[in-house]
Amino acid sequence: MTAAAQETGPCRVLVLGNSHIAAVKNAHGQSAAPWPGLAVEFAGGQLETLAALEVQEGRLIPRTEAAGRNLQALNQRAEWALADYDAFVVVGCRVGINLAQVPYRKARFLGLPSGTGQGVEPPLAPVSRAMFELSVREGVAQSVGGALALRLVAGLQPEERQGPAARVMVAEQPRPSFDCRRQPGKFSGLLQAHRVGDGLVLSDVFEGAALRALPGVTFLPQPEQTRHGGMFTLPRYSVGSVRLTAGESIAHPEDDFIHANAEYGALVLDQIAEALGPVT
Amino acid sequence: MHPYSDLPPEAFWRSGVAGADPAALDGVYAPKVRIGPQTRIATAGSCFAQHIGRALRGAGVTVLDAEPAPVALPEATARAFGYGLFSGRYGNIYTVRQLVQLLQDVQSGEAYEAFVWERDGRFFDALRPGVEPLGMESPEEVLFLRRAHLAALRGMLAEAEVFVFTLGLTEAWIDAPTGRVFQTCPGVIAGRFDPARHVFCSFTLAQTRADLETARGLLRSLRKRMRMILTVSPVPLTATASGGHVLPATVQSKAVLRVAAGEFAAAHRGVDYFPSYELITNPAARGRFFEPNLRAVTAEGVQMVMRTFLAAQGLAEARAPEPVAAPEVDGAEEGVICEEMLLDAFAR
Repeated sequence: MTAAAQETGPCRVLVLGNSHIAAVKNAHGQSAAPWPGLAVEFAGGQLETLAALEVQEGRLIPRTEAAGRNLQALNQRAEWALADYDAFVVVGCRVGINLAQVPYRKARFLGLPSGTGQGVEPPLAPVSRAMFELSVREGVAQSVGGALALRLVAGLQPEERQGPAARVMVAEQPRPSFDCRRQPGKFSGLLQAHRVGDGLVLSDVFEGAALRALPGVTFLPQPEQTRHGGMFTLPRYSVGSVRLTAGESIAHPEDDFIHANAEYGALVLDQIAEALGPVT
Repeated sequence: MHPYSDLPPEAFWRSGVAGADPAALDGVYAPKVRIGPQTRIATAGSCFAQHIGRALRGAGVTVLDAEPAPVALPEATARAFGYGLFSGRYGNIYTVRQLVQLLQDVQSGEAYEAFVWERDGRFFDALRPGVEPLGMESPEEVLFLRRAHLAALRGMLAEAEVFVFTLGLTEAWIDAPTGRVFQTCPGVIAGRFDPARHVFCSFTLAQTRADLETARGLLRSLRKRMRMILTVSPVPLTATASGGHVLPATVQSKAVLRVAAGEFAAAHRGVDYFPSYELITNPAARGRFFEPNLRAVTAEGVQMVMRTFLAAQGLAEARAPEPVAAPEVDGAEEGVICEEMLLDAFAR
């Protein structure tokens, strides 16, 4: 908890994101008791909506009418004053393991358990690990979530608010459930990387890149206990996931393997609370 | 009647230079080696050669690229990593000896452990230290990437019909025990300068001529009848280690390169010389093709040089090259990666 929050009460946190905040919102909705130091609000929207969110004169506002309508429908409001919060957490929004998969489709570096990709068709380009990671870093910074976090950091410069600076965090988009192997075509790239043993190294590269990609932003990686290998989420943290809605809880279909459930969301809230400091 | 009676205007200084528009000189280049849009071209050389490759690509000429950027990076970052500068990721090749040694490596496919430099726990290819600005994880990674680089070049050079080479410098640092020429002085980007091992050299005219012959032989061993277009970079030395003043050192260097290129081109039917150096340093331009630092060539100068080249080659109708943003790295200038510029940091 920030010094200001210690004096004035719980830490005011705005959790922003696309469909992936439903896990966090659901966990918080079931019971906020485990996090007495957090006063959490949610700002959900479609990806295009979040891409259109910008900071103007200390307020987070939609740049387009469509984004405004989407925010209003999901949150019953479309603007937030930055000064009302001690922390902002962007959840999901494509800051995820897929960003390591993008260069992996075309390139290999020394140190991958599967080798350097020599002699395969189509040919894979040999690159340095540093450049591979830089490419992932670019992907993180340009993702909807990364870019939104950077806009928040820029908008929270000291002249924009009184008192201590608010924190900005990005919580990784959960990796697909390992049950996605029931849809091998859709997840073939991730499954192949897992099969040949490259998952953990790619996971390391992704996390290293995400930590460095966003100056001024705290990166919250996927909770360790929820992972399967480097590329996937244990199915128990995915089963029972719900959609991002304005009100009633609607379950994702059984063949949705990309969203996490409330048990997962609770672990993200734990991470947020830990990152903000102990409750006194 | 005498030999001067019927000469065209460009043969006379007054009409050819003093009274002519330096941005539109007539008859300054009559190509001996012709290229067209389908001609497969490889480019290499000093930093000025980056302009040539970019302009040729922009004009729709087939410039080969053995190592295109395989992963998504902003263009400026890709260029900082040596992608898209030349036909291979060799960085700047300043001396002809450096080119010869690279071609020998391409032939042998050998990567040498002795040419791995270290800086702050990161490792660099001593023969192209600038292409991985963040360094590499281990000496093994350096050698792995160098072998892959050489293999890629071998394939590219086997395809190339014309090799466009810009001669940049005669000064270089040599690893005395092996005779290996470095792209940059050890210690500037990485590695450690050892005065007992690293020896300064300024290649003579005879050495440069001989190296050009060797390079041609090596190129033609990779691709039969490969032709060459040579040009000399008008960019002065950033610094000289000759012990003298940088001005005469620059003139000495450029004079050697100019004569070597001219004589070499005159000696071979398949070798051409294009006068970039003359076009930029033309006294009639009164320095206008140089930036205020009197070293970097202006965008207007580059455009004028390439317009002259493309027009003479019948490629003038092609679209103009797109400007490229300068990368945010040391040594960057007008979108050009130039390791030699790093020496400027040591100026007092």
